[in-house]
Amino acid sequence: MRLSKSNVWSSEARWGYLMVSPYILGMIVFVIGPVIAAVFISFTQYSILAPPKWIGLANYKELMSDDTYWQAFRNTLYFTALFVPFQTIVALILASALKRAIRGISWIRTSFFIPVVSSWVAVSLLWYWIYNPKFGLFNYLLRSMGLPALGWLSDEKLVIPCLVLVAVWKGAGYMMVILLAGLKNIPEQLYEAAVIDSANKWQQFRHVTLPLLSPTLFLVIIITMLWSVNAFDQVYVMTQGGPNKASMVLGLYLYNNAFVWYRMGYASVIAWSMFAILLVISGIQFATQKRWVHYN
Amino acid sequence: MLERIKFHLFYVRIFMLIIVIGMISVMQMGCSKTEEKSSKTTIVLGYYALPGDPEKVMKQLIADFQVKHPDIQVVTQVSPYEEFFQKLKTQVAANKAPDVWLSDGVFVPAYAERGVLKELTPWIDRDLQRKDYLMVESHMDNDGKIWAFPQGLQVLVLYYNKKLFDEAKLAYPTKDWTLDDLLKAAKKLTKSKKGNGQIDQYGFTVGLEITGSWYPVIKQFGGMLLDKTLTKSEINNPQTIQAIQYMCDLINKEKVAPSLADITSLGLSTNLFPSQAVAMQYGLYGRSIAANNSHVDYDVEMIPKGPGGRVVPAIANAWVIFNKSSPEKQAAAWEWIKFYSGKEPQLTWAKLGEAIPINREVAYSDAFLGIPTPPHNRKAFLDSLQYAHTMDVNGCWEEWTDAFSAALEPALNGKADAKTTAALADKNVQEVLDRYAKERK
Repeated sequence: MRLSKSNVWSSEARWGYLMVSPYILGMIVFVIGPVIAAVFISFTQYSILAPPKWIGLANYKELMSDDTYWQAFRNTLYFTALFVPFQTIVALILASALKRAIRGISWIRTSFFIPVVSSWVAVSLLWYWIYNPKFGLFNYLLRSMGLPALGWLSDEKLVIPCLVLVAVWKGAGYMMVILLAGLKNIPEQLYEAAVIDSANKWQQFRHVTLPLLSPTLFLVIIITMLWSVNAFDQVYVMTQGGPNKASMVLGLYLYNNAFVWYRMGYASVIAWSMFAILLVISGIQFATQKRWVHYN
Repeated sequence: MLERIKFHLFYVRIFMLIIVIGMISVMQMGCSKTEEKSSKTTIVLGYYALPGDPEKVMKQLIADFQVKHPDIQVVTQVSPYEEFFQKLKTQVAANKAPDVWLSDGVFVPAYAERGVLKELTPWIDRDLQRKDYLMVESHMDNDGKIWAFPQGLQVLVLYYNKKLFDEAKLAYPTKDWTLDDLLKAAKKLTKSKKGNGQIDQYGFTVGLEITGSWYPVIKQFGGMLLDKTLTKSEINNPQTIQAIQYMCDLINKEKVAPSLADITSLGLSTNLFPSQAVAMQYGLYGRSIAANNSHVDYDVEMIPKGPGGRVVPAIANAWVIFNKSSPEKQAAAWEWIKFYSGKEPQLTWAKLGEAIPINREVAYSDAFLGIPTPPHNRKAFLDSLQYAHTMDVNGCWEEWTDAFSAALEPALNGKADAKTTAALADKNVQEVLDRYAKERK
C-alpha cells in the first residue's frame, strides 16, 4: 500500500521519525560517513599522521601482487570453510538437544551461552592455556594416553583448526538460541502427522525440521560467515598471525596496516576487498537459497 | 488540532533548549579563553605509565612543576602503553594531540618525518648543555635536527641468574666475555631439571624479538641491516648471514635456546628469565622490574663481544612537542621538559627504577647506582652507553623490522637456511623502505 503525502508527514509519522532519529544519526555519523571516507582513503596514501595524498589506483594494484594479502585471503577462506559448517552443526545439535522442556533446562541453556558473553581476551587466554604444548590440557591428555604431544598453535597445519574450535566454543551458544527460537516455531502437529505416517526420528528431522528451520538456518549461516570473514580478536590475542603467517587473516592484516604500519590507504583497500568477499559469498547464498530455504 | 499545537510546542522547546545550551557553552569557552590569556597557559601533557607508583610520582612531579611555574597549568592525559599510542594517532589526525607527550623512542622518527613534531634543537642549544644529558642526540636526524628530548634510557645488557650459575659451578659473566664464552656457559646451563630428558632449563634465548634478540646478535657479528641513510637494506651480507646461522644453531644444533614454539609455551620471551626457564637473556633496563617482582637472584653485565665487536641497542624514550600547538603552549611545554630533566625531578624519578636517568649527574651518582634493589651492577648500563646504537630507527621502523622478523621465523624453526633468509629479508625490507621513500616524496 502506498502512503499518501499527508500520512508521511502526519503527527504520528513525525513522532516516529523523532524516535528513530538517534539511530539514523548514529548510522550516518558512525557507519555511512566512515564508509564514504574509506572509499576516498583507499585512493590515497594516508599515514594518519600526515594529510592524505591522492595516488589513484596504486593501492589496488599493490593488493594484486601482495603475497601476504593473498595468504591472509586463503587463510580467511579456510577459516570460513571450517567455521561456518562446524558452528552451524554444533549449534543445531545443541538446539535440538536443549529443545525439550525438562527440569533445569534454562540453566543448561545458560551454561552454553556463557562463552558468548565472555570477552575474547579472557576466552583466548583460557584456550591458550589449554593448547599450551608443555603444560596444556590437550597435551596432558595425549601424553596420558601414550601419544606424542602436539604444538597446537605453533604447528602451521593445526593452527587454523585450533582457532576454529575456540571460535565455535564461543559462538555456538548464540546460534543455538536463534535456532532454538526457530525450532519452537515449528508446529507440533506436523511431527504428530509425521509419526502417524510412521516417519522415524531421522525422517522427521529431514522432512519436517530442516525445511521449516531453513529460514533460520539461512540467517545463522549468513551471520556466521560475517563473523568468520571479520575474525580478528582471537587471532590477535592467540597467535598474532603466526606461526609463519599461517593464521594471518584479513582482519589482522588490515589492523597491522592501518594501526601499526601507518598505511590507512592500503588498509582501506583491504577493507573493501573484505566487503567484496562478503558480497560475493552472500550473493551466492541468496541466489541458491530458493533451492533449500522454505519460507512457508 | 490541540495535539498538533502540542507537537509544535515540543519542537520549539527542544530548539530553545539547544540554543540555551549553545549559548552557555560559547560563554564558557569565552570565559576560559579570557582567563587563559589573562593568567595561565594551559598545556595538555600526555604520557603512558604503569598504574601505581609511576603514575603517582609523575603526578607529584607535575604538581612540583606547577608550583615552580604558577603561570602554567598542566592537564594530563594518561593511558596504558598500547591505548596511549592508538589514541594519539587519532588525536594527531584530528589536530587534537597533547601539546607535549612522552614517546617511545622508536616512534619518534615516524612522527618527526611526517611533520608532527616541533624541532627542539634551537631551544636545547639556547637553554641546556648537551654534555649534561645522556643520549641527547639520539633523536637527531641526518641534518643535525633534534626532534625529541630524552626522558629515560633503556640500554641492553646480559641478565644472568646467579643461582643457576652457582648450581652449575660456573663463574659469572664478565665484561670481557665473547659470544664463545656465552655459548660454553649456555651449554652447561641447559638441562633437564626433572631428569626425564626433557629440557626445562635453557642457557640462553634468541627469537623474533628485535631489541633483545636479532638486532644485537647481527651487530655482534659485524652484520648490517640498513645503510647510514636508513633508506637502503644491507641485510644480504656475509656477517648478517653468519649471525642468522649462529641464532639458528643455538636453537636447532646446540639446543641451548628454546625453540619459538617453546618460547610461546613458556609464556613469551618476557617471562623466560623471571620464570627461570632461561639462565641468561639479553634485556633492556626495564626488564629488571619483572625480574625483581619474581625475586630472581640475578645481576647484569655488558653484552658479550662478537666477531664484529660490541654494539649495544639503546632506546631513549623522549618528550616531544606537537608542531600544531600554539607558540605559547610549545614554550610552556619546553619549560616542562627542562624541569623534568633537572636534577631534583630526575632523582625522584630514578628511585622508581623504570629507566636510566638522562641527567648525567644523577645517572652517575648513588641515586641511581646505589639503588638497593637488583641489579647491583647498574654500572654495566652506563658502561654500555659508549657502544650504544639506536637500532636503525626510521619512519617505517615497525614495518621493516616486522618484515625482517617474518623472514627470520622459518630459519629459526629450522625450515630455511641462513643465506636464503638473508636474501628474502633483504628483498622484503627494501620493498618497505622504497614504499616509504615514495610516501615521503
